[in-house]
Amino acid sequence: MSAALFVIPLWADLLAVGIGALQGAMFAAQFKDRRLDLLGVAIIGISTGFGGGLLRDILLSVDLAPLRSNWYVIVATGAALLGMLLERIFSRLNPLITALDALTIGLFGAIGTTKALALGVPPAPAVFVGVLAAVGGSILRDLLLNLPIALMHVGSLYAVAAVGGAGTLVVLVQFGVDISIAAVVGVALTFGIRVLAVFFKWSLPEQRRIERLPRIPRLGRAR
Amino acid sequence: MDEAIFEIPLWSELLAVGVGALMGALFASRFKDHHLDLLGIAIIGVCTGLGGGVLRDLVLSVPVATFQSNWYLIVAVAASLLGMLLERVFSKLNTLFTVVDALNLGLFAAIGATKGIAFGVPAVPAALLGLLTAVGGSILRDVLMLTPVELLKVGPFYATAAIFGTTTLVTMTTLGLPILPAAITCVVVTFIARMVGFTFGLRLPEQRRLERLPHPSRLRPAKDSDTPPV
Repeated sequence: MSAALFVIPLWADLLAVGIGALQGAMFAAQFKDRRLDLLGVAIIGISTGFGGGLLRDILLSVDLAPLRSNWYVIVATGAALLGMLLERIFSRLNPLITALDALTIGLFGAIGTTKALALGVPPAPAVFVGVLAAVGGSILRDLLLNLPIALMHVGSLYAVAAVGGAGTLVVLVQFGVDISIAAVVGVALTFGIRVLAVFFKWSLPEQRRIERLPRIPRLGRAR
Repeated sequence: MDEAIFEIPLWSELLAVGVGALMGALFASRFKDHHLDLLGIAIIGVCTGLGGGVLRDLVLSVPVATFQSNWYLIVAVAASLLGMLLERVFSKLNTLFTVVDALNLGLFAAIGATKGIAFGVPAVPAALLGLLTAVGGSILRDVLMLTPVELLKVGPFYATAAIFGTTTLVTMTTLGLPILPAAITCVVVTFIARMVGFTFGLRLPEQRRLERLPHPSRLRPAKDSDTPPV
């Protein structure tokens, strides 16, 4: 391993999983036309909670970390059911939830990217894996709920925040910065971009194409 | 590994990835009502370009090849953005792109099948693996865009062309022919099958069921008044 793994304590990892699962359940609860049963809520919670981590480990061809301890499933399911029951209270805490979610993306992104780097993956794919770990849960959630994938449609810079954080992380590591510091910077950047984007309502340009191609003057003819 | 892997130079692999990503982004750009942002287009392009290879390596349980170098992602992202920006130009070059895409299909199919063979996968699954590599990207793309998976619908040969190609490849290798000519044949066969199918609108028959199953009563000794079962 070329870089020491950014090992975060289990409680912090589970906290991220829990918030992710809570978020997922709340997201699902807002749809009046697709009501889930309890198992459905649990499944959505699991997919948003550690779906990203599962995807990351599959792509890196390593043992699936979330399946190596009882706690992940317990926390994800518990948080999801909690989110479902207490939806009314939590939806009033929306800013707090958004901020915590931004922190979660940052943490998952940092964990994913550093794990990839530690396994010898080059910088660009490491960013890809990190971003996928950060947002994979939400992609899975949208697929399970049969919704258009929120990430890909015009909206607040969700994945971009993850890309920014993960990208900064690998750049810093390339310059020899200590992995822990790089990870913290990455998390902070992701958190910052995401929170500011929600606050200032930033978004990426919609897809565009070049409408008018530059005209090339015809040779041999005076213009 | 008992057979040399069909090693193709990096530039041609990147070309295949780039073309795949560009085609994916073009496809996605056409859906005006989806309002994809730049990242969405990039995601679609990357998945179409790299998806087949990733799926192939996951199925083979080997480290994902496209993650071993920066270039794959860089090329895939750049090609996606290019495809999105120049959609107007490219949509006029439709025929050219069908041709290039058909070559790409064969190339990916050959890479997938030969990698499978090199890892000891028997002939029939190796052919399937080649098919997966060739069309996996397009399946991923359709799933992410929530559009019906084009591959499964009735239409001109696409996956079928890849099947022809990989089947030819594994038949040739089973007969003991060296891997390189087999791979080239795969590319050629896939290309021809795809272009012929596209030009003449050839397609597999739609799904069908047997309308009249033999009825137990018809199994009794024939009488004159019995009409023969259809």
